[in-house]
Amino acid sequence: MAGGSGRPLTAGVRAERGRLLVSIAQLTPALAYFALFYVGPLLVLVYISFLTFRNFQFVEPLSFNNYANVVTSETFRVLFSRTVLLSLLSAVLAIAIAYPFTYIITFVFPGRSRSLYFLILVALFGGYLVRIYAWRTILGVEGVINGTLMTLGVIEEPIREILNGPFAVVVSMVNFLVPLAVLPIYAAMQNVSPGVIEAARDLGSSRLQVTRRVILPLVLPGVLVAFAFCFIAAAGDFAIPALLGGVESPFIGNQIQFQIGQTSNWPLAAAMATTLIALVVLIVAGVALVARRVIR
Amino acid sequence: MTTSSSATAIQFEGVNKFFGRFQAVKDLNLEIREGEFFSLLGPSGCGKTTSLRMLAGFEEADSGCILLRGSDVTSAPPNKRPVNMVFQHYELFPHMTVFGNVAYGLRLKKVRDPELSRRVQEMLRVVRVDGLEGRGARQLSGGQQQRVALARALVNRPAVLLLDEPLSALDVKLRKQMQIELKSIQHQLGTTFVYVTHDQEEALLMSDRIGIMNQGRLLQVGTPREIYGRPADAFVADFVGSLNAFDLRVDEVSGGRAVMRLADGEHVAVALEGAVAAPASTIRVAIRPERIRVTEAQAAGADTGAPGASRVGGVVTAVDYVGSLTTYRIETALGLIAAQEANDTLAPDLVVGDRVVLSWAPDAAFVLPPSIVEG
Ligand SMILES: Nc1ncnc2c1ncn2[C@@H]1O[C@H](COP(=O)(O)OP(=O)(O)OP(=O)(O)O)[C@@H](O)[C@H]1O
Ligand SMILES: [Mg+2]
Repeated sequence: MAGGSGRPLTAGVRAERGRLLVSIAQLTPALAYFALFYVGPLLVLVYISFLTFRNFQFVEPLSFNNYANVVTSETFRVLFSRTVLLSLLSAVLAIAIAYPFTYIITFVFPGRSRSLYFLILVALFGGYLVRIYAWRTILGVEGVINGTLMTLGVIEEPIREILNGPFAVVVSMVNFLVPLAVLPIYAAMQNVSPGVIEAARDLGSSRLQVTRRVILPLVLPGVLVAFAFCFIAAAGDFAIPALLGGVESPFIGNQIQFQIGQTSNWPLAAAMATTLIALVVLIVAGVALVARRVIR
Repeated sequence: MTTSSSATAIQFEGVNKFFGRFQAVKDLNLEIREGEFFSLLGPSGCGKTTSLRMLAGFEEADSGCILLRGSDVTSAPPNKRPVNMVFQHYELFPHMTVFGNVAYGLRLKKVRDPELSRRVQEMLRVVRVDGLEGRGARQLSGGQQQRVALARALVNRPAVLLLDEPLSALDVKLRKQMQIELKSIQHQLGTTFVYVTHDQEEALLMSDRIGIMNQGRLLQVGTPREIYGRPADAFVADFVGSLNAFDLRVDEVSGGRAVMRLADGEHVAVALEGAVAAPASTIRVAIRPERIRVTEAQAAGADTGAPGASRVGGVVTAVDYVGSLTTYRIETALGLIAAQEANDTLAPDLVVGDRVVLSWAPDAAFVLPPSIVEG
């Protein structure tokens, strides 16, 4: 780049460039894979979102009509807000559970941390749908909670609102997200040297101050990754709201599924999906920015 | 050089420490004086770090007690003790700058800005890393990290500074330089230093007093001269510097000395200094290689040496030249003996096979007490 300006390249810059070329060469397979399976489909999605739906076909001309539809529709706005709010809540709760759990297995029982971590992984790969149905039986009218409360005489009629509503969605969503949050937080905590913690103690920090001033800032990147994982997974989910949310609390994902499956309006579905992706990216970036400010 | 004030900074009283069924520290009794540079020296695994960590509060003694300036800190948590530690691997906070690292302890003590900055800067000057305060802790060389770790601890003005092999990760040249600097910083600040090392030269060079440990037990405490010159047992003698040990048959005891007569008319003697030696018994005697003079056999006749000097003849079997010194290995009636000569203008020019006479002053050799610990 600077080669044409008349200044000869220093050996350092040339070495730097050489290394860059080498690393690009090494990355090529990964980049190709990424382009083919992620960027490609995404571009197709964005393209479709600008098409027009007419007589059950999507045709040119390209326009912003679908987006205008998404933004102005009251129904869609409610769907987007519910999706974002419940997903945010679930992600935050999942991290609130995953962080202390990971903290304890790493710093309180360092000897057992591997086996406990393995247990969490098993939970992660355990059947997703199976767990959702399990929540149906736990939260349902004849489920474990209502059953117990009735046996204890706390209530006489089963509480119907437990199932089929935002509560059931969040509970099950958090259950689904916790392992996702543990993974990056665990990795980040493994990188905190026990010696650094001892140094902080030695310099006068209480256990709480060590957590606040040393561990949290060092683990923050992992927590942010966990937040991104959880929030994205939650906002994109449609099975949990469909099976546990009842008619009252569908997510935007359910609407997308409906637009594709029932009305075949792919362009509108694509516009909704694109809007969701943009929204999620903005929120994750915003949260990361604020967190970095606050925790230093 | 010992401090004139005899105030006690640290006392270990009958301290024992177990890890499971393994006893890492055995009945440790030790007093460290205020303002002293004290080193714990011993081979790997002997319990030095464990002792230091009990002082810092990272390990708790299973029995016995530890007093810091007279108050019992045996089970006080690390943040409630007026001591600070320099770790072997520095353990700087990777997410903070040099300034942030050094200011860490002061901020916890609510020291506020004009004073905070002043004290941090002053300490960075003492350890000679001023100008680097804005650097991230990850962007420092090993030597710089070492200095920052030192500043981070010293800035809190601890009653005692604990150092666990702080120089072991540095290259030889930097290590030598830091040894001198550490010593001068200690002198300048007057802080009590407890220094853990397994490098005997380092301990001899830096310390006011040294405690030698082996297998969890403290074997001897003394000044470098005492430890080197009059080691308490064979282990200490061998660990601190190199050593010749041989059996001396007691042919005669006179004037507080045990004497062994050799076949060629020469004799070897050792000052008993309180040790008992019955005639016709055998005692173990030691002498440092550098205390032995090596003379060519022909030239030796005229040089009778000091009165009462020990003399023994032998044949050179190896010559190890290391620049400033040469070590000769000589086969004698007492066994194989190593003798060290400085390579100055008077150095004998010997080769393997030469006949030589070894001689040493009456006080050079000492009786070696049996080992306190087997091993
Ligand atoms: N946390 C622990 N659990 C079990 N055994 C331990 C523990 N810490 C130390 N030990 C054992 O106690 C003994 C003394 O250890 P220590 O670390 O005090 O040795 P050291 O003198 O510092 O050795 P080095 O010079 O190698 O650092 C060793 O045999 C070690 O294996
Ligand atoms: Mg050690």
